[in-house]
Parts: sequence; structure tokens; C-alpha cells
Amino acid sequence: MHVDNNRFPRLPWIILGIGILFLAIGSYIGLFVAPPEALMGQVQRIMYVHVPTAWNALLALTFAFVCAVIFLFKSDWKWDARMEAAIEVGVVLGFLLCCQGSIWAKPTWGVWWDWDPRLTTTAVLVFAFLGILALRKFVEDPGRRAIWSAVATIIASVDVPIVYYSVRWWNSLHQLQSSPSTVSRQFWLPLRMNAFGILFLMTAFIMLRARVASMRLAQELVPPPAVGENV
Amino acid sequence: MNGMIPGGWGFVVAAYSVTAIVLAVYGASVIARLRNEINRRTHD
Repeated sequence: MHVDNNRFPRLPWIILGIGILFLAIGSYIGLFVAPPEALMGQVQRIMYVHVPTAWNALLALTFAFVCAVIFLFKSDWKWDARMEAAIEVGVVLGFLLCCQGSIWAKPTWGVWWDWDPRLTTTAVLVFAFLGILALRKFVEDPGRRAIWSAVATIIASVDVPIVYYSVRWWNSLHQLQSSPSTVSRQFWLPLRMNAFGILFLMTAFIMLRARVASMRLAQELVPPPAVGENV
Repeated sequence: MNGMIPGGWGFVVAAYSVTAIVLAVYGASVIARLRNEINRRTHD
């Protein structure tokens, strides 16, 4: 059974390097070149890392959903490994998103956290996918683990569009979605640079983490030796 | 006073520091796990 798909071993490292470069340049422009915002002042500079983290967290978990669907249709183990990687990276970015959001909330809202729709649905999203990672740890049989976690991923993914649209559907403290069309032109460059930087970083992390998952799966799926067979 | 939030650099530095630390630590953990798997495979 072929699990460990490693056709381009250097590709994730190249993508990782490009991501770090983009993030370094984007952060430099965001911190030292872009002007402060009219109302939020310097605090608005948090947007250049917070918004790209949010986009990429949702993207990683959407990719996990795609992997889960493809795995259930094709039963190809590489999609199970990719799903595991995408969930883990999505959870890390989701956790980072909540930390950055708290730091931004304190000077602008006066509180570190509020149970408003955007924050609550994001917390639910992070804990739901954290639960799926826990499920994968506890189920030893690879087949059951893959199917159960794929189904759980599809169910948990319902929260992804809810997080995205929560600021439009409900009365929320959180501002509406930011995009290049909703922010001043002077803020575009650092926002885009960091968005691509975290996108490249996320892609590299998913590729490397999927490789780890594939290698573990390959070992788990090796049939036990027959009686008397030399190991 | 013009309504702009005064100061705030401390929060900005905190947000960027948390971002750098979380991404670096996670990246290092993925690389360490990959090396472990590669080493285990070569020993096997």
C-alpha cells in the first residue's frame, strides 16, 4: 500500500523560505512604513497579522473539509494524512487568531474577550477541531480513525462559513470582514504581503506535517510478519 | 484629543511577538517530528 507520497522533497522548504521572506517584508512595512489609522492609531497595525491569520486559518480548515470528502469517496490514505495536517495547522492558526484578537480587543473594546458571535463561533471552531485531533490520538485502528475523523471534520466544517458570516448575520462587536476593498490603499501592501506570507507558511507546514502523518501511517499499515518469518 | 487611541505600541509588539513565537515553535515541532520519523525509518 503506497502512503508516503514524497515526490518533491524540497518544495515545502522552498515555500517555507518564501513565506518567511514575505512575512518579514510585510511586517516591516506594516510596523514602520504604513501610517497609523485615523481612529485606532498604532493599534491598527495588529490587522496586518490578525486578518491574514484569520483568512488562512479558515482556508486550512476548508482544505481539511475537502480532504475529508475526498478520503470518504476515494479511500486514499494520502488524503487522510493531508486532513490530519490541515486540521493541526488550522487549529494552531485558530489559536493564534484568538490570541491576536484578544490583544487587539483590549485597547479597542476595553476587554480581552467578549462572547460576541464572531469570537464565540471562532472558539467553537478551534475546540471542535481540537476534539478531532484528540479523537485521532485515541483511536488506534487506522481505518476507523480515518473514517470517524473525516465524518467529524465534515460536521465541524459547518462552523467555517458561520464564523465568516457571523459579523453579517448577527449584531457583533467585531467589525465586518476586512479586504483590500474595505481598507485604505496605504494599508494594502502589508496586508497582502502578510496574507501571502502566512499562506506560504501554512502550505509548507501542511506539506511537512502531511509527510509526518504519511510516514506514521505507512508504518501502521505494514502487515504483521507471518509466524516464523524473519523480522 | 482627536478620538485616536493613544499609544498602543505595547499591544502591537505583543501581537507580533505572539505571532512569531507561535509560528516558530509550531514550525520547529513539525520539523523535529519529521526528523524523528526519518531517523526511525532509517533505523528500521
